[in-house]
Amino acid sequence: MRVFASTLAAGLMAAGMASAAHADTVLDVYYAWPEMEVIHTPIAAAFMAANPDVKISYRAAAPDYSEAAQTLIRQSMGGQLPDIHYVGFNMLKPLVTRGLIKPIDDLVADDDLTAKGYSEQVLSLAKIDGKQYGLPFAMSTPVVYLNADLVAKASGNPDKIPTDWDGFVALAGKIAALGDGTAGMYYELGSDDWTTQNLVRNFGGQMMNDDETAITFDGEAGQKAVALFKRFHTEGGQPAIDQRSARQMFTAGKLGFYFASAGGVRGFEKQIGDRFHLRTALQPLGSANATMPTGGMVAVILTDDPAKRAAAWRFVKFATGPEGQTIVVPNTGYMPTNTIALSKDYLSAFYEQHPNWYTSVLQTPRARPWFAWPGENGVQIAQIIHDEMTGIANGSTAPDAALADMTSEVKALLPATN
Amino acid sequence: MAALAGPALSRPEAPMPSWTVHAAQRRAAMALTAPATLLLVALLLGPAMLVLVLSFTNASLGLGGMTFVGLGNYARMLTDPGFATSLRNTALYVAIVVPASIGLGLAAAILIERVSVFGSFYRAAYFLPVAATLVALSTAWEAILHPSFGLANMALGLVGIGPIRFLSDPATALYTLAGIGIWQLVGFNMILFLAGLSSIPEELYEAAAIDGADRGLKRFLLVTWPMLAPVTLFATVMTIIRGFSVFETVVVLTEGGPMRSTTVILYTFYEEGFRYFRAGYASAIAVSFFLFVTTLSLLQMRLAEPRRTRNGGAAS
Repeated sequence: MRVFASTLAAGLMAAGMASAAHADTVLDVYYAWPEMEVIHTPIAAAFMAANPDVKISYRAAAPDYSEAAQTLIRQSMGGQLPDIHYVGFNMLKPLVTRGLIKPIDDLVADDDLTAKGYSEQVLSLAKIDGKQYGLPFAMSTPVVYLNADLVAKASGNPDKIPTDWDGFVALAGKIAALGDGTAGMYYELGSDDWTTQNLVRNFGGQMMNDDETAITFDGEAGQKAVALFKRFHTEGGQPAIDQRSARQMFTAGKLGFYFASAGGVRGFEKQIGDRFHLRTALQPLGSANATMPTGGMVAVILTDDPAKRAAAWRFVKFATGPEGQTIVVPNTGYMPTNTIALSKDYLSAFYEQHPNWYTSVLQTPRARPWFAWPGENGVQIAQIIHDEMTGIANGSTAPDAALADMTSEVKALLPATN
Repeated sequence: MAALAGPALSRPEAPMPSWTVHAAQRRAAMALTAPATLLLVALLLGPAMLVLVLSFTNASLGLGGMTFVGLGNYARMLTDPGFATSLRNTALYVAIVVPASIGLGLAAAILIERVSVFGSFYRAAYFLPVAATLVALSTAWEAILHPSFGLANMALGLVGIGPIRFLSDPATALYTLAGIGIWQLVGFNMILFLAGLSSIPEELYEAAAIDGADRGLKRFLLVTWPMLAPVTLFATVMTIIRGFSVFETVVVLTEGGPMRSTTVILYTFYEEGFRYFRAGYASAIAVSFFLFVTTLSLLQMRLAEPRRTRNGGAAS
């Protein structure tokens, strides 16, 4: 017992001395998705090696973006907020509305972010009403994952899948016709409205007008989007099953095309292994001015303490800079948020060896913010859109009727001024 | 209190005026129960009161400032189509699960009581779903029910049926969840009925045999079923409450979908409170749910009391 006690005391002293000697500032960092530990742990290690005066301490990860947001809201009431958080793009606005995330324009003004590889387009993803609230840390757009073996079997070219929807849906239909329980394609609806926004944007549309006073997704682009989604099922051989089942079908080699976030490349490659040849491809486009909603997360600073804030700014720049992004990209499939990360010194060799990762980078010019609904009902609006789309998938609602339902229900949930 | 009364009474040589004894006792009692009372207030009554108060406001988690809306949240529950859907789904779920799991539980108990060899094995096997974590078991069910290569569809395929999109089809999802609910609650009810069966005195069966009801349905209707009445009542109320509280399978397997076909009361509560941050409305749902379950329990107690004495009279 005495030996134990003295060991403990020695250990504590050593730890105390070590922290006194090195870590002047301790930063609490909170992120969503426990599996993302593979990127967060090495980033912290690399940062602390270069910045011995700062210690990064991670809190237990939240299961997803919205749970992370709920936890932050609860913690804010008890004054226990972390110093830094990686907020999902869709949760940025609700947390800004609640006053948890404050602008960092003062920090940005004293820095030269353009020279450090942050493009105006990337920065705009974390901008609300002209104010900068953080630096994007991971970005993704929906891409097409394809089973190259099935595509070839259906006499398609896996290196050059159709770039127009008519050709694409026809090829998917051919894969479904291969028989033996094979399905043609699966366009994932996710757990919110991200991929529905993607379809509307694919036809050059938007969910609302620029000043967010009126719904626009019920217009021509939206009508084309829901009609196409219906065709996925009637002509493209998309089964009306839940998303997890469809993912299992795809990884088992029984599904031709799978639409999902580019952030899942690494996960898919691991699960599929040698079962079949996995490729990624650009989304077919329904319009010349097609855009895509950006998924992923933003590094935001929550602390008000000036010393901590300065240290947090250093950490955030490190994580979103070339060193951090060189850890993020290969371990996930996200596209880098920093242009320097794409250079020869960092990721260019990796991309040459892993073309599946590069597809989303090619889509970067079309990447736009993940539209966050004004008011307090954003999460429910996303749910309503998701449910109506499921109705189209199941054949219980005609596309036009579903779009009309969505429009009236969403209108009722938007702030009264709209 | 009894322990306090002891020493006070064992000192007859110092007869204190009765009001002093009472006051001292009362003070001591208060001092001794204070910690428990405090904890009770802090951990149970306080939060419950807070929920009650919140249910009369439009509080939103994290947004400062709330206004008193009276019975607005309760009125909204009556008109909210989303809540009506979840009420309908829950009622349908309960209507399927309660009779099926009680009937099957009773059948299993009677059969298991009869077999002498594998009795304990069957008991354990049927009780397994109750004892195991439902969340973990739900994941197993998800694999079994996979629309294209799940075990269930493979088996159905052998007899030329299907494939059925169990959890992906709005027409079947709720029934599939009800099936899982029955599977879980049969074991629970079986244990209750086994306990009930073991308390039926053997003489009753002997007396029934003399009257000619020595086996089968006659014996069941004359002796077993009436004697199981209190247990059945208890099992019914418990199963109804558990049926109305269905939540885990919904969260793990369907998340209320497809197309709201499996949203149930507690899931709506969770969604409103924790996903949409509407603390006020969610509190109103919680309060209503609490009142409903309490009423059910009180009803059960009221019904059970006279019945127990009547049966006691019959047995003697």
